[in-house]
Amino acid sequence: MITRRPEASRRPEALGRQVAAGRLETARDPIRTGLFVVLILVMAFMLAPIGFVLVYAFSSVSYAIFPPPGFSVRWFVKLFQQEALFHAAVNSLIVAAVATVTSLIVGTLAALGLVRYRFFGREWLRAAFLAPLIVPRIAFGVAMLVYVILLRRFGGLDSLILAHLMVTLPFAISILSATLVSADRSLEEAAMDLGATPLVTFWKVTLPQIRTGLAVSGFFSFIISWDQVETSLFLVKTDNKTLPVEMFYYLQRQQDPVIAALSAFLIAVAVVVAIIAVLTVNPRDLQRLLAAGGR
Amino acid sequence: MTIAAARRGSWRSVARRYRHVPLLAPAVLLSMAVFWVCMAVLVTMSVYPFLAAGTPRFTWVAWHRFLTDGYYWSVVGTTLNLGVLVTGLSLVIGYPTAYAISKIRRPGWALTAYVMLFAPILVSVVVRTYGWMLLLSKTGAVNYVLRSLRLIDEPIALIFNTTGIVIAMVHILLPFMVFPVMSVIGQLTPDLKEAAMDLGANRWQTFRRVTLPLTLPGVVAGSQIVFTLTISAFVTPFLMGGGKVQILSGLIYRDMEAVNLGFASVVSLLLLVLAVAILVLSNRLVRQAYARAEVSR
Repeated sequence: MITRRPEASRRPEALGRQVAAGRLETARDPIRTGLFVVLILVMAFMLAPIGFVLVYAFSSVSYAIFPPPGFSVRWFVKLFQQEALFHAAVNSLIVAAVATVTSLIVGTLAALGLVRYRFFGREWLRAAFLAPLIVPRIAFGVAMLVYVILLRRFGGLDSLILAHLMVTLPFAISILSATLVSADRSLEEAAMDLGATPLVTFWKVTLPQIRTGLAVSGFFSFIISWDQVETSLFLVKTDNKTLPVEMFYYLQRQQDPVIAALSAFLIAVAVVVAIIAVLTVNPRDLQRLLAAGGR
Repeated sequence: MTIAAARRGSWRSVARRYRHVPLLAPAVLLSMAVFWVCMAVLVTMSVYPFLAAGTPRFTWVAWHRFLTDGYYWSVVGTTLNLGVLVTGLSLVIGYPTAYAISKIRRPGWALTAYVMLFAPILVSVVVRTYGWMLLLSKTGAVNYVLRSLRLIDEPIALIFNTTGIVIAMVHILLPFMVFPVMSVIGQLTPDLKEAAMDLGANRWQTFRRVTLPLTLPGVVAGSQIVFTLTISAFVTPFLMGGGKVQILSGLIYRDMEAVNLGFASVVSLLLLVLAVAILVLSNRLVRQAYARAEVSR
């Protein structure tokens, strides 16, 4: 406070702004300090397991012991010899990509229908679309397996894609609805008045306005599908798994650091993705849309 | 001609009235053909256990087995107990965290805290659970530190029991508690707090009488999400429990492995009923919390 005073007196308007922002009145406050300590501890708690996976990825021994007796990169070498994991990763990428693109297209159309039109049973329809969010995923997995057996389609990626789509679509619909509500309708009307067809209007006016919503819901859909264990567990054949399911079974068989090495690789990808997301998406939009998606 | 024009006009108005139909059709068809059929299949399977084998025969045997055996009720008890523990701990940790993040003044630091809290979501649940298995095992880092500090002589069992499951579940579900609480804290207007302070309330009273009631809807929403996700989680309780702690999702997995589809359907339906009951309860609580907040305003 004291150190700030000369600077503030030079610029009285700055002092006013600081007081208004509540900066000066709570400079040293035990509750604030307590909250700060809590925050640091929680962050350590959140990052600890991820950090330790990274440490064990470079361990020189196959068993989990702390501290590791030495360091090596042999688990990365062994990782790249695991064909089952590679095959599973390709499967996961295909499933997640198709589920994401489909839920974006179907979700955008559904959100347009829900937001732009008033019709009988609209709220019921919205609830019906969001209902899969309530159903425990393992329960849905059980039901989906029986359904797939009855249709005689067990073991294919198509059933997996449909199952994931049921989980990702509600997120896409709720996030895109939230974005569409705040999109400016009059711009569309202006475009139509100037002679644009509905398709052109959508492409040139509506789409740019819901870009953030599309990015966020696409991102969410991909992550959810990519990390889906419970829904996939019963739907995959032993020789045609997805990556998280393969990792789950691998951990039950043995616990050597191959999984740690793979995780290190995936964490590196996640960090890059997080940085890109933070740099490209406006944090205010992100916060608002996350709130919509959480519901 | 006028009649034709009128008819054309009415056709146009009918077409206009149903313009939402083609937009909604793909989503409706998809969710009917997959999700809603699956729900029907689940109910059918619970009374026709051999449906998938091609020999449908009506029987209550799966329901009877579940409802009359005390063991399964103890599993329901374990599951609900786990839900309460994880939700309670997430709330105790998550509320101050949400409060602290909302009080960060520099946008850069706020964003950093935000990313650190939510980035673990990008890492697979399997990987995060594996991290906790490494940390909490008898030769893991936590036991190493506790022994180095001479707090314990023998390594303590932190995995393959409820402790391990709770620690890992709180870690995985904490963001789902912090987020709803943070969004209600963000909507608080400072003048209510100032008014309370001006009227002579101390900080504790202000928190208890103003801030807490106003943030209660977020607390209830977060608790509902965390509770529902805990009781239906499979991977983390299964790996951290190591077969020692049986919950409903583990029961489903066991019966699926034994190709006991009828019984797995019964347990799945029970889990679904629990999840819906909790949602209904929390919606009622949120409404009450809002009503009370309105009154105290």
